[in-house]
Amino acid sequence: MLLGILNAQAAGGATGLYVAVGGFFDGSSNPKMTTSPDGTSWTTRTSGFGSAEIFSVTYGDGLYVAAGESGNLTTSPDGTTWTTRTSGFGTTAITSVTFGNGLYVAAGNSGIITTSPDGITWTSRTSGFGTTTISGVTFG
Amino acid sequence: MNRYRFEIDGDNAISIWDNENPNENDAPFMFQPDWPDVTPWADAAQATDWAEVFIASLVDPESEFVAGNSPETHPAIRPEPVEEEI
Repeated sequence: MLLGILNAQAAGGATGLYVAVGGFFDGSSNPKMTTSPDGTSWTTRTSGFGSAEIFSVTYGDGLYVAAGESGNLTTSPDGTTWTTRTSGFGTTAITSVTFGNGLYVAAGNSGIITTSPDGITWTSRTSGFGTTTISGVTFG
Repeated sequence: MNRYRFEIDGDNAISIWDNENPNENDAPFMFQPDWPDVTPWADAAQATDWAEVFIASLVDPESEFVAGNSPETHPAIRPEPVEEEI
């Protein structure tokens, strides 16, 4: 299942690259990440997620951030080379990431929400969800 | 060596590092300047308690840690019920 697709150029970035992530519920434990400069031809990328599924991807301030199962979070300056980060979610799933107003936001199961100015160092915040799963987050 | 380490700075802000997955320039993966609900830390001891329980939650999903907690909901801070409340 394709879970997310992002156009960094449309989001104000300079890379001009679409990034698609997914693999959820396909039974293969095989996370997928592909990129495309034009939306027509797609190249499979190594995401750094191992067998963990990727639920969401965003772009902002020169950095892609992808997140998913078991608190996995990776960042990339170009959509091609990804670095595994420690998210602060432990083994809890991150269901959604977004960027806006100079801040990355990651949200997930157990009502967890964290924010980061750089995609690397994160701060835990009170989501208002209690322990309820947060399924999506965005900025507008 | 423990996987995670933390420090409390002069403003009682918490920085936490993952020894197994260090960031560039040794940047911490967590920086917690106050409670998740933005209540200021009462003191360094309170911040230390929070950091220890948070780190425990990273390695034990069944821990008592409550995400996005406040002083009222944090297990390390929450007061014991008095006899009349039991």
